[in-house]
Amino acid sequence: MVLRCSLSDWEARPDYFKSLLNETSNWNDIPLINVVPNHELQDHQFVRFRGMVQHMYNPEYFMGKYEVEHNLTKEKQLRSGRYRDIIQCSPEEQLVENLNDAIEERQVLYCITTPALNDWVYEQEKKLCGRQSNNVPSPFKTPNTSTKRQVEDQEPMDVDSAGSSESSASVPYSSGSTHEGKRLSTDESKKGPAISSCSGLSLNFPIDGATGIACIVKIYDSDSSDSLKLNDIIDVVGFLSLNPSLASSSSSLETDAENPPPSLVPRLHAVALQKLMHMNMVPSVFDDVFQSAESMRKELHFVLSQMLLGDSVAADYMLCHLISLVYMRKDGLALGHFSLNLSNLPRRPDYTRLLYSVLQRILPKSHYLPMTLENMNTLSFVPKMDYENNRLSSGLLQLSDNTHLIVDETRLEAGKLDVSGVANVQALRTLISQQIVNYDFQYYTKPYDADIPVLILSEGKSLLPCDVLVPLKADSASLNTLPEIFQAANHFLREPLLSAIRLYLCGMRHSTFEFPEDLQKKAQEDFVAMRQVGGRSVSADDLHLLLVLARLVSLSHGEKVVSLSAWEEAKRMEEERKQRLSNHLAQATQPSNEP
Amino acid sequence: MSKKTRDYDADKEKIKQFLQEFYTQDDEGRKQFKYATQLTNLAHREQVALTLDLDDLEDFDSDLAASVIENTRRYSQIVGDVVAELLPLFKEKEAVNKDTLDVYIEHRILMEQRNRRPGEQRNPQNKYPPELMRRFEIYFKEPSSMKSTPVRLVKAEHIGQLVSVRGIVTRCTEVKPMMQVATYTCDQCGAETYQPIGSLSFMPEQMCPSDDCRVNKSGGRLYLQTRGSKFVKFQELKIQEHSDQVPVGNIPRSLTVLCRGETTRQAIPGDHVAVTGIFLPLLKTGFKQIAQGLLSETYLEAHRVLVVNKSQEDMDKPGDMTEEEVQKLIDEDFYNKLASSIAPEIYGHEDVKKALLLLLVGGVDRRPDGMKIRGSINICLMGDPGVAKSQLLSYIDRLAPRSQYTTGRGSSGVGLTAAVMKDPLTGEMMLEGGALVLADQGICCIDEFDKMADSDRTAIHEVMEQQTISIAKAGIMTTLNARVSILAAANPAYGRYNPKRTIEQNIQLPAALLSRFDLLWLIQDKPDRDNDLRLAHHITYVHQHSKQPPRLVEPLDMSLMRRYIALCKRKEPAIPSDLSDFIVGSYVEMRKEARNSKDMTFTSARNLLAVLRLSTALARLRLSDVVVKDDVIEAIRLVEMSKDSLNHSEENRQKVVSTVDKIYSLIREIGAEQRSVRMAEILDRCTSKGYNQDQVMECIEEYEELNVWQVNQARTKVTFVQ
Repeated sequence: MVLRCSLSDWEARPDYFKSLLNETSNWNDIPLINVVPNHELQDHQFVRFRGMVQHMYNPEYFMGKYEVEHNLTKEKQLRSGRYRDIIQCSPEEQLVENLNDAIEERQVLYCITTPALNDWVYEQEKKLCGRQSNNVPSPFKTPNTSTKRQVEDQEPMDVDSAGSSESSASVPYSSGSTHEGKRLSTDESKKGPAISSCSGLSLNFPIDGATGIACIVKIYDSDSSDSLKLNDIIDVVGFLSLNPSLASSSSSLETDAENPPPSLVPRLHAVALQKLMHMNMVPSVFDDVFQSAESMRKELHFVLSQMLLGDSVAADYMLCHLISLVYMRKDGLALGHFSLNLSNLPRRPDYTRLLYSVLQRILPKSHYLPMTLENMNTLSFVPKMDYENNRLSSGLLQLSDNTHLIVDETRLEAGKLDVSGVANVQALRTLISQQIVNYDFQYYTKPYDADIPVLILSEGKSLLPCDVLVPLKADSASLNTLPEIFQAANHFLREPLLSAIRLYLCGMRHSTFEFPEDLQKKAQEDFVAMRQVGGRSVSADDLHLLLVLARLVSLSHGEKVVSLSAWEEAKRMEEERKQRLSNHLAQATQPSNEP
Repeated sequence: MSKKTRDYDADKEKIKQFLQEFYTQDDEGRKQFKYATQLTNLAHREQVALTLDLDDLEDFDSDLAASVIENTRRYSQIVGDVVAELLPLFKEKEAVNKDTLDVYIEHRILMEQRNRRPGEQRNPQNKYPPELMRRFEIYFKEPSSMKSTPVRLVKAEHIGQLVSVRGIVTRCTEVKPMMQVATYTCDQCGAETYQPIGSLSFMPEQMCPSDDCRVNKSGGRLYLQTRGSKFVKFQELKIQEHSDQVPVGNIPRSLTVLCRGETTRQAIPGDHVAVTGIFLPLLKTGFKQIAQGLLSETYLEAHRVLVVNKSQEDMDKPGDMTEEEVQKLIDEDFYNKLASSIAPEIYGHEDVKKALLLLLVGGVDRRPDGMKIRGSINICLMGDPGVAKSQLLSYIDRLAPRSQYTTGRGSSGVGLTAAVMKDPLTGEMMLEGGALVLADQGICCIDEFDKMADSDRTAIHEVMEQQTISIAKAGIMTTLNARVSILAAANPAYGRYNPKRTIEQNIQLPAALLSRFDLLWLIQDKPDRDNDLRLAHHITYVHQHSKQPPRLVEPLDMSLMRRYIALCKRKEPAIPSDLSDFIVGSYVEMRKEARNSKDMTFTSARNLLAVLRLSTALARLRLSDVVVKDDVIEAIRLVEMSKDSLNHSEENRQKVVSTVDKIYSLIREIGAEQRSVRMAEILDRCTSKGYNQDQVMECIEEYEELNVWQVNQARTKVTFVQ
């Protein structure tokens, strides 16, 4: 069933429709413009959009009410200016300008499809909305979907099928599943409007070469917009506005950028809006997830330890990393970030990609960044305000919350970082240590909170600071059977287990949690004891890390209250890791001393 | 709808009265007719802008002032009309014609007088529009009671009103002439036609509307006449809100400001400005109005553009504290309370915070017989990396009303002191002040003090004692004031503070510079059971409850602190003579102590001055005019504590290691030239220095194990290993 509502319907019975929209399940009955091709959309259609707030314009002032007078009958009519861009005024009518007090204000947001959204989420979205669309093969794609192409081989997006088939070929082990098959078929039909939209005026996606749509959302009730922040993921229902006259006709660059042609960037006049915490669309009943958490954890741990070449400790850390979340911010302190640095990776060029190909299947949003010199020097990481065009030029680090960033340092070679490269490394460092991205407003920088878990894959210790450094202890036997292992892992991760694992990760991440009083005492005593033994080398950061780890360990077991065993487990993990680190260090330094 | 019912004619009369009669009384009780004088200047073309201070209008008629704020554009016109009427009355002498327009105006007035026939109904198009004949501009100055509105909160309901906003200029166009009145002449009848222009664009007139042409249907074409038209200077600014006004996670908003006439050329991009102006919708004409008819863009018509830099921000002085507030603040423990309110997010370091509080308050300057003794307190924080030094600095920078934050490696060429720069346009040499000059009468926070450029380091000697900067560069010789308190943070030279070395070695700064600091603090991170437990409690609490633990004393609000400190600074406490004996006594004691216990710091006459400064600051903090003994005791305690922080770490180790070390250095001293030393000689010298034989043997054995020297079989001779 498609929920249809015309603008006049809405104006006639706003309460009825509002009550319909209060029921979230009804939202799926509204066409999602992310997946519906552009040519099927009509002006004033009742549609839905899901995406990330990329930029906020100045508010717009418009006439809330205006009067038109019929030229012949002299009949006056009061019309509403809401949910419209254009005055409704037929040639026989004339505008009466007298209502000075009718000027209202609306918020204008520039939204883009969620960056770094993974394929399966897109498919899920499409399936949910597919019930009502007429089964048209969708030429639209969310950004970074099948063309999760590695950024280093990025070219301008006009090379379409060649580029993407190449990248899907480079991930050969992942194309076995049914859903990968779909991806290839969509590649064929990809010469749709999405491509043309990338030429000319850039749509300002954080990730270069990503495809997707952009949309200017106009919000009317200011109270709902006040709580909106940059990089929030929103779900909006409203009326589309595609009138071509909205494109700016003036010659100034600034208005050009603010008023792109609506065929590229449709306007959406919001009637209802909700903020999304997570991208998993399956009805959010997480209670069951907690029931089966223990078994899910076992399954996932098994897969992860296989992928990490039989290293069970690294798999433990990886599991914790996958469900980490910045759960508190206060006075510039972000708690809960748990960035992971896996070092000592096997020196095989395809390993990191294989690893990522699996992660991509279980994480809703992720981005793979090969840390090549070229990438570091040429990509822009930090969003920058462009006063010429009056918009925020996006940067790679403008990602929505809980988007995993996988930095592949094995790609780094010796060479020279130029000025922007150094700035980019600095931006990554700030992100990892404080979960903050400093946006550049030219006259000042402004810190924006981020929540981007960072996983660094490196051979030695990474040059980026990380919360946790785990040297991988690879099982030498498994090195030889690397392709087989990943094939098996991909095979293992199939429905219904795959959905269950996705749900598990999502549920655990966003679960509430408690830290009981008695454990607090225990933690304090343990810390003091550690200080006594370790002296200066044990700092407050270690306690923070231990507490975060204890939280993640207990959550991964599906416990909402940190238990003593989880605390002990966390301590054990840390001890083992430190032990391994010092062993590793000794090993690394020994050979160099001998000659 | 009170606006509509307002009697503008009556208001006009009132304004006329106000302009003519308003006066203020100067110190000698004479009346100063503020606006009447200005009107005379306007009449003589000696002044262009007439700024009406709404404070004055409020005194005159508060109701009128309120309605001016509500509907500024209208009143701006009314005032313009009134001034135009009044001007001839104020003309005392013949004004000199300054430019062509003046000549034109004169001619036009003459023409009008000559051509006017009584009772003739003139075509309004041919009448001179008032704008054409005026050479003055009317501006309003916002009343001082008006708070500046954040850019974000300038909303639709402000349209038509006078608002005052602050922001940073992100863009400004060149100053261009904008047509205010277009003058046309007809190619057929020669009549002049005028068209006043109110918006940014206009539609030129084509056909001559004069009687001649219309009646004869001669179809006279109009031609625009540049020299006869009136232009005003015009500039468009874009301001963006300050970063601290932006809510978390939002994009800063911006606002277009249109400046005309005298308000142009006031700011350049990057300036912090306060703009007062009328918030107006921008009228669109022609096709655009139909296309985007529902939308209207807005702008601020500037009436006053003022560049405010951080140093000038005391424009909006925080209101004085009421007696009540002061009483509430001053309880027994207010000294601790104030100190702990400094950087509340940083845990512990109470004494450092107390010192910083005194730095904010400052001591009293003295000028006995032309000699100047500074009152500002200089503090240097040292410590291992990561002990929140920089956070303390940036907090002080935020708290202090006037401050500059910089690093020792100030990136600009101006550096810390001052630089002589060549103006790229005029080629003139000019002085540009560095951070120390800009922070005059404030606080200069210098991070990474140890990494300072050598040229700045030499200049800072002078700043820290004489409070001036002397410049002798490129033919400019001058002395600039730099009455600053310096708050410096330095990292130890080798990563960590080495307690075995002296401060100069640790920080790599000359003693002459270090001794100029009143207090030197070493912040160290040492395991200590009680502290650790409290820290652990703090952290676990934060994790458990997702908020900071409740404190014993709730930290004070920043603005309250600022106001209190401002209040303290007004006091000028004196040291009563009966205290001087006590101070002298304790100074002598300090010197003696320093001699006895090999001190790593310096105890000099500067310490005495430091104690005096600190005790006056403490008296100020109590809002007292007299220094009491307790102040001096506390000041001495702080000085001692700061010394302690430097020496304390040493004691721990010295007990274990240093005797061996000292003996070792002694032995090296004996064997300075030779390769070997006789054991008897060693023992001799060591016992004379007060070490017993066991200690000497321990040392010799220890260093033998380290292969520093070898001892022969009979243990009579020590040979150094090369």
